[in-house]
Amino acid sequence: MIQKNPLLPALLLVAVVTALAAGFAIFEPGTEVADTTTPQERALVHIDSFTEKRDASAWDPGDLGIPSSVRRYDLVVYDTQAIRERLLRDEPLIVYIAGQPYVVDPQESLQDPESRGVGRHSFTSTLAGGGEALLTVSDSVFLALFRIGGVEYYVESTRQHDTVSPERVVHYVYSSADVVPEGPPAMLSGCFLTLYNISNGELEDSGYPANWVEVDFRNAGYEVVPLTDTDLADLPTVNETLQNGGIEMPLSDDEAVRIVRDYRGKIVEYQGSYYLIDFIVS
Amino acid sequence: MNEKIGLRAFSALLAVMLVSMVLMPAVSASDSNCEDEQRSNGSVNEKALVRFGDLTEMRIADEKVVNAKIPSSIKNYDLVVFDLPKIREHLLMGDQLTVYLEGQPYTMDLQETTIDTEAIAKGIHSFTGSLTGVEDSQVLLTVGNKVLLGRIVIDYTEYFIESTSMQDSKLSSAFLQYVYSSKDIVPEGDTIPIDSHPLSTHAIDEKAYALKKMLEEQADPCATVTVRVLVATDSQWMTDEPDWQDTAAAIIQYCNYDFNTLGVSIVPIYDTSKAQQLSNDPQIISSPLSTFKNYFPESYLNSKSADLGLYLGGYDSSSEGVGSSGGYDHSSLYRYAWAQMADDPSTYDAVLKDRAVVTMHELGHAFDAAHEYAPYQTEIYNRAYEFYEHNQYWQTVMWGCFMKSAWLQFSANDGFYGDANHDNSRRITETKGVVASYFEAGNQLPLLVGVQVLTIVPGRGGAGLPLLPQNRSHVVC
Repeated sequence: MIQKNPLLPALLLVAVVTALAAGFAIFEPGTEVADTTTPQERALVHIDSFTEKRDASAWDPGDLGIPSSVRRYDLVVYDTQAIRERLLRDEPLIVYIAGQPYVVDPQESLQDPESRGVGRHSFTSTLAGGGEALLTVSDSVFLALFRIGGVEYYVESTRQHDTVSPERVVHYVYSSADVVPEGPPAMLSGCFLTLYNISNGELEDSGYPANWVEVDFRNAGYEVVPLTDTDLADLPTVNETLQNGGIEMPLSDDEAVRIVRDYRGKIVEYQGSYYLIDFIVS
Repeated sequence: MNEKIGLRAFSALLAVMLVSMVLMPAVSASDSNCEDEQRSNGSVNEKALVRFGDLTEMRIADEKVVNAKIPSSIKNYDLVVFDLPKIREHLLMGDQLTVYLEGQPYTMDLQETTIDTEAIAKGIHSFTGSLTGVEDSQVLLTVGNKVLLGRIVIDYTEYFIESTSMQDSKLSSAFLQYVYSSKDIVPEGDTIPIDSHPLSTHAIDEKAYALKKMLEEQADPCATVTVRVLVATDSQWMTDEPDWQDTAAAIIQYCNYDFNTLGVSIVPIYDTSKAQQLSNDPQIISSPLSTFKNYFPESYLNSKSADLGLYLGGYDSSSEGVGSSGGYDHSSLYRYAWAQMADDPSTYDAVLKDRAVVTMHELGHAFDAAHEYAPYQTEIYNRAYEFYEHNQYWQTVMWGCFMKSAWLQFSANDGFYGDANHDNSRRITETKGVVASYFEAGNQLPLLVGVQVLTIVPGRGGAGLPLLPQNRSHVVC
């Protein structure tokens, strides 16, 4: 594990040294790697014979797409095809996580036939001793989540090809304990206005004919409610959108509740046109 | 009204008494003229809060079993069984039916809603109207083969007729139902606001709400349904991450890991045919969900046999949030969800875990799963949950703010991931049949889409279900 430290001064020199060192353990595609690693050399998520650790200081994390909130990580190269083959054989696989061995007893998930058809397989497993694993492996990418106690361990792809074995992709592995959230919390609780003018044909694809008038809607079982300027005084975002346009404008909770109470699922008539007023949620 | 405490004390004794005295006289009653009130309840002294004269029987059931089906915030309720065939017959014949609300008789003036022919063909009929002579009153009834659902509003008080989804022990053809009023609800927990309007506001218009509830009742919570999700992306993500399909497959797998425990099998249908069009549209950054729908209208989803459309967007959206969904009740976007795959200035990072959390969160909305605070949601048990484990707080996946400590799991009434008031899992098992029917119902008018007849085949698509975490299942079957 390393502490993130972008652009070390001796980048080029280290890269050369790394390449030379790794050259002793180069594996050919489809062949198992000779397991010469010591416990100290194991990556945070390590599978014997199928894992090679890389010197993380040789890479700029920004170039690898690693978020800056991930403060520590290992760079590794996996023999993804060998891992896939082992998992598909339904054989237990020993994975060292933070130095401790765990037996993965894979069960393939069969719900994504399209991915399986192109060699991308997903597996779930419980871990002996407690924990669970979610694995997805394809020709060149290995993605995994291991949950052990209150800590999660992740394997992600950098999408960068290895300099030693260019046919392979460099992965980064880290744990939830290595993440320091940055930035403000992301909102997942907002409401956003959707306002469609049926009379303009904006919902013809959804089955609302543009030429329908009140009697047509009523005959189809809809309730038609008028929207007046007085009503709009309590619906500032609706009013703004009616006047100036806009899509998915943020709504206050109060306005969202008013829409649910008075307009959701109803046809709204405003100045001779018919609208569907609703909101989506994040 | 029986309070729960009273039920606890007297249930055993009264149950024995009722077995021999209550059932037959009321069941044999056939007249909608409800003058003879004594016939409806036999020896039971109390009358149900909402009843249809002699077409209603009160029940006293095992409290523990029933309580599990009724939100604990409903402090008072009556358990009843209705003579559904006769009620339906009277309604269909246009007879005036009398409803008693807190003992006061009212005549209902009802008209059948005939727009959903497929539901009618299955024996599900809906009626709307008012109480004769009562200004501003509203009545909504939906009656099927096993349940009657209703909402009656008078003087700003709502009376609800709901189903426990439990078979009545005496009349095996009917479900045990409960009736209560809006006055009987006391919000519980710190995440539910004490507010006069939201809790009594149904999330969609009354007819659609009742019909959806009816179909939810029909769905077998133990069945496994297959929900086909069209997974689309744009050129940006494909360019930024050539292995995007590996990530997409892993995201779907993460979602399935918990959805499977609820009897939902998410089957992806990957679609890149409009990736360039999405990227070329200037609105894709500011309004990703609406723009996505423009290129993938319902007719397109239907042509691909998809129930839902999921857009994994490669742009850092300028809209607030990192995902959105029309949600189960939206008039026209209920089949759509968007999750941002790009990094965001917020705590959300472009890593697999964060992406899976947001994707699962938005798909959860499509099944009506709600946040911890949801003033526009009627199902008050349907809330996200926060729990303490391993010396820190964790949030279930529907939490309304993205957190690094989000757990890829829906809240559930298991005492660990939630409780009776924080049970997104229950809501998903209720709605899964409706969601799985979207494609088959695709040619109907929008508001009717959710109320088409369900085709729920146990075990369909369920092969390869993973082991449950700690051998835990959210569905009690």
